[in-house]
Amino acid sequence: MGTYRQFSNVQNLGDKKYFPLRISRLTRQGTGDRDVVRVYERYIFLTSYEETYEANWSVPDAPLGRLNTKYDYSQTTRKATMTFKLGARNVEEAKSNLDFCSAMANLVYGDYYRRGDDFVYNGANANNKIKFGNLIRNELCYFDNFNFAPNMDAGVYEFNGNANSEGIPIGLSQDVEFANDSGLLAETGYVYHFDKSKVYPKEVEVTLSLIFVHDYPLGFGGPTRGREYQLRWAQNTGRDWPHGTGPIGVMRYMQASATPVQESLYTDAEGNEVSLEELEARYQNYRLGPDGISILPE
Amino acid sequence: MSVAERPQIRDIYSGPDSNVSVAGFARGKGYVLTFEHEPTGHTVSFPSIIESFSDGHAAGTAQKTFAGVMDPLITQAGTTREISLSFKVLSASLEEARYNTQSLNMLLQMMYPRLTAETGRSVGLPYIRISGFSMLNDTRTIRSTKCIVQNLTYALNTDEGFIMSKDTAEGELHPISITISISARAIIPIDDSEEAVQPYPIDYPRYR
Repeated sequence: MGTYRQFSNVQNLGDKKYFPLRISRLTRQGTGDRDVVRVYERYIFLTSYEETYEANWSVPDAPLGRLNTKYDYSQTTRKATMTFKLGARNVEEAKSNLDFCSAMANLVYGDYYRRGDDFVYNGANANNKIKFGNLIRNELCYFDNFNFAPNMDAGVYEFNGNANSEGIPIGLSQDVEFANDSGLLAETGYVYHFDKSKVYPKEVEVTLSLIFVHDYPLGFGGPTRGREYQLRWAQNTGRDWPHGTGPIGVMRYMQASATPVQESLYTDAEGNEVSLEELEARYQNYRLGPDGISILPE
Repeated sequence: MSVAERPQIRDIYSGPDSNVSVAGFARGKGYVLTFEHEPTGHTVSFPSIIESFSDGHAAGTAQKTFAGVMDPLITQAGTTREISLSFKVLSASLEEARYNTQSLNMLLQMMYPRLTAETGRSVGLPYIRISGFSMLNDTRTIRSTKCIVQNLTYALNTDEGFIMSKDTAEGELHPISITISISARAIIPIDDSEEAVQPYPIDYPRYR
């Protein structure tokens, strides 16, 4: 039989009505010049989902008697925490759940690649992508926490070495019959295995925390929008953000507009990037100094 | 010459299912919570299903004690106002859920600034003005409060169920109930009129 993924009812219902949690992991192989994407996908039973938007404002102490201090904004960080359950109706699904969890736990560790005999640490692994229907739309992210908790009260699938009527250990018999898709064993009948000392939980609870890393601008206006569209969302794709809204049309400020031709940028005396228009406006009452470089007031 | 775009004004849901949703009730009672993103002027409104609210005013004081003197010497730099607000967004149909998701997207986007057309640097900082909740006003005449929102949390209430759809390949999951929690610091309004006896309005804050 092919690779068993999930219990057929869950799989069929998921295919028709739901969407899976899909995580793509990009890793470097060999000398670092070959990238491999591994995809992990599973229908999950979501029990909680929370997104946090943390605006990073610096709030200095107000000078004596002053009512409002000078607030400086630096950025907004988008984070998410989700908890879900993975149920197992047979031994194979329980094993598959554990493999899925192993892969996810792996995501929290840094990015390494091999150079000769050494491993080179490549920093935080921010090349992962996560997709969960319209809630998370195939976004780059950094996984910062993974927690795996088997629910022991729900029970486990155990080893069974007792012989059946044909003298074969029941666990071994079920392993073989299920692997060969023999038809003698119902999908829910595979409840014993022959891996002595191992237990496979019937239910596990997983909590995953992540920080989104956006490879597109976030905010209103910006260089991706023309000057007349500076009230529109900077991403300029004509689709909703951050969550999908199905087939309905987007609001006016989310509609795509023609991307303007990028203006040339100049650097002013303080090292800031400015447009030629801004530079001319700023220096219109100035003239070049005798050295031909410095700018002097008229 | 180009015509400047107007800010987007997003009202609460008024579609065909509004008679069976909380939106119709909220409209009738005037329970409408509105957020305005100051740098763009975009506004978005929700039925005002307030779950919790707190408004704290804390004096920034330093205390010094001296031997033999019973009471501390107190110096006060200023006073800050911290606001916590959480409210629910409920959906009674798929159409309303999509509408609410779009409105919530707009609110989440308000946590981001306005960018310069040239370089994309932040220029219009994301100040948000909250209005529509009768206990959150600056004064009798300023029926809103301008804030810096430091934290906004979007939490699905999974126990209350979902509305699902596969009308698009992506698939949709819309919770029937979402809780939005906000932690913000208020910007204190300044009263610089000639008759003012203090820099902030005499009726600040206004709870009714």
